[in-house]
Amino acid sequence: MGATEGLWSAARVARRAARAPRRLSGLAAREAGALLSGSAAWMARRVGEHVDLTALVAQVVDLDRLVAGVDLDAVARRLDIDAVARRLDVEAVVDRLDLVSIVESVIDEIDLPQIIRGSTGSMASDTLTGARLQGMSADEALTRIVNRLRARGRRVPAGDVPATVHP
Amino acid sequence: MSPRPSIRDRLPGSVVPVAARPYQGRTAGLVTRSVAAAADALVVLAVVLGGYLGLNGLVLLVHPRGFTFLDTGLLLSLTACWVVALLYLTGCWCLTGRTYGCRLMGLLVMGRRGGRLRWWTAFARAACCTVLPIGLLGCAWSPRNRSLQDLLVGSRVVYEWQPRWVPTSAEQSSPQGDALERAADDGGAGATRKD
Repeated sequence: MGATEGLWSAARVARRAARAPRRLSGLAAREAGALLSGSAAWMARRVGEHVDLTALVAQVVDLDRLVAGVDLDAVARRLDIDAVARRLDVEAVVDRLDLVSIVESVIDEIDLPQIIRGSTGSMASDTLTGARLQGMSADEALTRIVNRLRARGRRVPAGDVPATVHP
Repeated sequence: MSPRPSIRDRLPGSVVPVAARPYQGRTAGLVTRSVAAAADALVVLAVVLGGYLGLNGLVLLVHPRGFTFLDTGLLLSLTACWVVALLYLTGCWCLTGRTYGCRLMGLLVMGRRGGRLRWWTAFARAACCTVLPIGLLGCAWSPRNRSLQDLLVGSRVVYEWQPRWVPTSAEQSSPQGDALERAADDGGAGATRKD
């Protein structure tokens, strides 16, 4: 409601009051209420045009406290998750994942080769794997023995150790 | 954006058991190599025996009435074994880098630069192995697990359970190959030995 309309409304009230003086109080109260609400709405619009209300609310209002009072569970219950999922671009999400790393870590964790060998491998392949592992262990054992013998061969009597060692 | 490598490329040695993975690429020791050599010897014997039986079968077809088993002297038998072994080892090392015995024990024979042996190197190694098989014992004493044959031709025998394509020595660039070889030696023999 504009200022002109407010003036017109006041003039109308004055005219009716002159015609029927007894109904003046009730009529005046109604018209004044209408005038005030219209003016308030007009003023709010005018203020909104000149003031950044969003920034003002963010500055003045404690939004965390406000949201804490909201029952988000109820909101989530009312939410149509299927509709949201239908709008979701799953491929874009999957493209952002490093699937190879995930697969690597999963295979390492569960020892997939062992599972495959266990389910499809024959007795012969198990024997072969065992023989290879035994061979490698034997190699290591032999290496340790040879290293010990070499260390013993290099050991010099205490009296022969030179006082200073030149690089 | 470069294409993402396949899972197979990103998972080298994925069919190798977890316990054996740390050993892959390390130089092999005497026990494993001896077992592989024994298996190869059996293969050579089987081939020579098969050839002998095949030859006798041919004689039987030609002269069924007067057939007797061919009398091959010791020298001829040994020579046949030596030639078959020479051809067998040369071919296997040159073409795939592994003989049947190597495949059995999960070994790979590599050249100086980490690739497959060239044919003349493979031939020289096979000749050394067949003429002086006791040279294999040298790998027990060598700091880098290298036998006499390895020292002579500059080859290496490593644990390699998972079959893979190995480039020939000629296909490898020398500085990179040398660096690879040094790294493999440092991480391989150096890890198992403390000298």
